Amino acid sequence: MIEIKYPPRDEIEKCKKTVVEAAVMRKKIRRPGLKTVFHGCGSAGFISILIYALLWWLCMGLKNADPLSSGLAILGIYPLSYFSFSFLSIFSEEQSETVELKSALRFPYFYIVALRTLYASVAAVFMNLALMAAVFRHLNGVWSLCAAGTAFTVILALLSMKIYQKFGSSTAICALPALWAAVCALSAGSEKGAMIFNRFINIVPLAVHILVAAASIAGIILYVGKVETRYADC
Amino acid sequence: MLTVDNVTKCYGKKPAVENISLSLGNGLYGLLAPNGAGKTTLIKMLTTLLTPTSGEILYCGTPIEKLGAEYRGLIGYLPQQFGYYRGSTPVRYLEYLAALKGMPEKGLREKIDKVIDEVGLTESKNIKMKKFSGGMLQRVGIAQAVMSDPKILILDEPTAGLDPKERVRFRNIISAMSKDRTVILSTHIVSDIESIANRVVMIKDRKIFRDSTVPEVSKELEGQVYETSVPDGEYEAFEREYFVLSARQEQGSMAVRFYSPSPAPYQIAEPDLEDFFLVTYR
Repeated sequence: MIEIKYPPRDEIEKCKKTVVEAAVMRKKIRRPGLKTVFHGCGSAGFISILIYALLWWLCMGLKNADPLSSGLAILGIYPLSYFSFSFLSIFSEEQSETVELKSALRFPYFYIVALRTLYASVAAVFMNLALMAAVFRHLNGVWSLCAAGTAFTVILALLSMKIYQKFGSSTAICALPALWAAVCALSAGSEKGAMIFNRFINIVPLAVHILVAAASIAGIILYVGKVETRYADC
Repeated sequence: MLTVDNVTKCYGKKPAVENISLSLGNGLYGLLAPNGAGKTTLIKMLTTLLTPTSGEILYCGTPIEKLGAEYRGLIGYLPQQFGYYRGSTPVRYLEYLAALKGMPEKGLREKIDKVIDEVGLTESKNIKMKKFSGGMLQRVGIAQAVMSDPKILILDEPTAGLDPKERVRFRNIISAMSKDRTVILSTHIVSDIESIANRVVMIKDRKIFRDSTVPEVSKELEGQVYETSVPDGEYEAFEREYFVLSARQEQGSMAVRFYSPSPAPYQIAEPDLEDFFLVTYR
């Protein structure tokens, strides 16, 4: 027969008390709201909006340009507003040296970054959609462009989160927008790139673009849900 | 009860701490070692910021990684480098951290006012922290660590930047808190823990070197610490022969406290924790 060694009685009682207290506390836990998620992001938000306005103002110049140039430029800047915000907000928090402390709290820093990524990328998508509808609605394949831009923004946001989780540094996430801008610039400058873009926007049905955009949004929501289960489940 | 079970942490192939085993109940534990000995690595594992390469850390028998948010909700942590927002006031910063700790809004303001008062910052609570001295910032750090009434309080070099008066105030707060919770205080300053620690845990060569009470540790040097007065001209030769723990210049001579493992013809002195620390890490 195996002899089981139990801890002392008072130790068991103490543990039981802790478990009961934790259960009572769980009911009282306040989950982070928008104010908490975007705390300290004021400057990052302001600078991002300025960058965003500047990029769109430059894009306006392409209103009467050929559809290929304007389409590629629009697709190129679509995710950039989100990226400038994402990079600046994480960078400013790294500078304030608050990341270590916040990572040891009940709702740790990475969970907050994940929530922020979700909210900010969705907000960027809506801002882009509104501007596209207002300025470029006459453009051939505009809605395909919108759906593709939405999908790319969300997928790149998801990738940036994964990169941040792996490397834990704001500079690491800069690689993505740099790569994205390079791909768009190279596509605009090469015949083959332009051909692929044309087919991508004009031949692939709008329904497929919308489906991919919806799937990418569902993907990011699922991923943030997974982050919540791992880091903030209480 | 927090249990560290045979924990090793390596950075690449280089171990930072090796085979650490500890049992931490209620009381104040002083984690004492010189800088670079692995204290912060151990602290970071206890706060879930780092994952052990091997071994595990358990709270009430459950691995802390499994407990996740629930475990982090039980701890109060003051990192070695306490970060803050320069444009924020202590009240606003504590409100923000309280939200990240999941603390309910009801009664929060009263709680914040109480901890701010405890650390002596009532008059500065609405002043932007960019105007604060290092000691004042450290007090904000202590306030945020204790405000959620944590079951486990982990403080990494908490007295850095505090003046002597603030140190005494800090010691009193921490000592009072250790009655019904686990307090882990990591430091290389012996006086921070000598008078308040229930147990001293010392790390040497990446391993636990001692885990006992302050009197037990000090007692190990009984009969090996001496005091004498050495004429100025003979001090250099004396220093070559014995390990000097402290020396004070007096008129024409040096009042010396030293360590000698073999009997020496001088007056035996009562050893303390600082003597043991100096002898261990010489």
